[in-house]
Amino acid sequence: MTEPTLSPRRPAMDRYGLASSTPRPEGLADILERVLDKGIIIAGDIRVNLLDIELLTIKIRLLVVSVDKAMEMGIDWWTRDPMLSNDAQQLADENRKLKERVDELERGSD
Amino acid sequence: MTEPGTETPVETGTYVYAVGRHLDEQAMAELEGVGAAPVRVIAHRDLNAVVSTVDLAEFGESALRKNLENLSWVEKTARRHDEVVRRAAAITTALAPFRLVTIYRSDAAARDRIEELYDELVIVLERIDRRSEWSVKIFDRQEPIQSAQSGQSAQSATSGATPAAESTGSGVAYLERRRAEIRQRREAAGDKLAQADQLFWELVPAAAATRRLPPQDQRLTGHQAPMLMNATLLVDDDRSTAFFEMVATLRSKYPSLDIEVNGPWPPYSFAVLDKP
Repeated sequence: MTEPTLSPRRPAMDRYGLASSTPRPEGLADILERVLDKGIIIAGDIRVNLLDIELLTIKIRLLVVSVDKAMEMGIDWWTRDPMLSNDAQQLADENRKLKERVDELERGSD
Repeated sequence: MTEPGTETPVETGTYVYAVGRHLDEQAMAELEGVGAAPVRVIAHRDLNAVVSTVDLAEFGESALRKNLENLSWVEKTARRHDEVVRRAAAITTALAPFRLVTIYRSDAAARDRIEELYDELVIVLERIDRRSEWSVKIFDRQEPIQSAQSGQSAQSATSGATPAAESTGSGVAYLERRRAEIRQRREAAGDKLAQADQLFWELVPAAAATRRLPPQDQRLTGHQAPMLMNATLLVDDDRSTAFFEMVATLRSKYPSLDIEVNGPWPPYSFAVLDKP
């Protein structure tokens, strides 16, 4: 297996490991933002309106961002709810309540 | 591709990941692309496109409409796409990434499209050549609320006469104090926003291009302090040291602000076609 030829003009990239073939574990929300909202956005021959795709609309992507954060805090109700019926607002509220409770506990039992 | 009288062969398309120059196919060869397809490089004039041949049973219009509603398919495809783009960006000095699922009928159709966009693609590549993207976020370095007479409150704390003790029996005085605190907090916040704005403008000369972004919602980032400013900067790789030095200077100049710098990233935010 040949190592990729790294351009000497891009040492910064290599320093940050972007040339590595091992994918870094990165949040899906960040990746989606890059591959959907940035770069060259032009029509292909295969036409699909990404705005028609509910999964990719902002609301669901907000959910994906919140999901990453929520799971860190032990919130995982959607793993038991296949319909994903709760929306981002409810998740954000739960998140906030939990953070408030954590803050309370951290301030100590006064 | 279909010959009359034969069984319909698998219909395929050409999936385009990115366009750049001097892309070495060998360096991309061991990558697995979307749909588990191999990654290739095709040439048109002095430009290269990173592509994969994909099965339209998975990447055709109706298949995409179904697959794009499937989170695990989207995740798998997006990560593969991203990885191919990142690898391509690492082996050249300027790469224009294409959006997820930009697919043409064939390599020839992809080349035709690149020909149509040639001038604009060259402008994009020149804009980002040997430059990287950095994210700059400015947060409020929150300090405890200082009352206007901050000296006094320090004194009263040490003398043991706490505000709570003074206000016993005087609810009105307490409310007055709370209102004053809130007003001071609002004024301080306004000041901080102005400072963050000023800081950004001082950073602009260190960049080739900048974009202001909406500050991110605290509920989503989980960050303690409010985000006052969010921007992305395109900086010459050769000038990244000067950029860092400028950030360090600004950190000391604005001690009440927290500057968070991330990068360098391949300059996706700046690899955009100018609006017609």
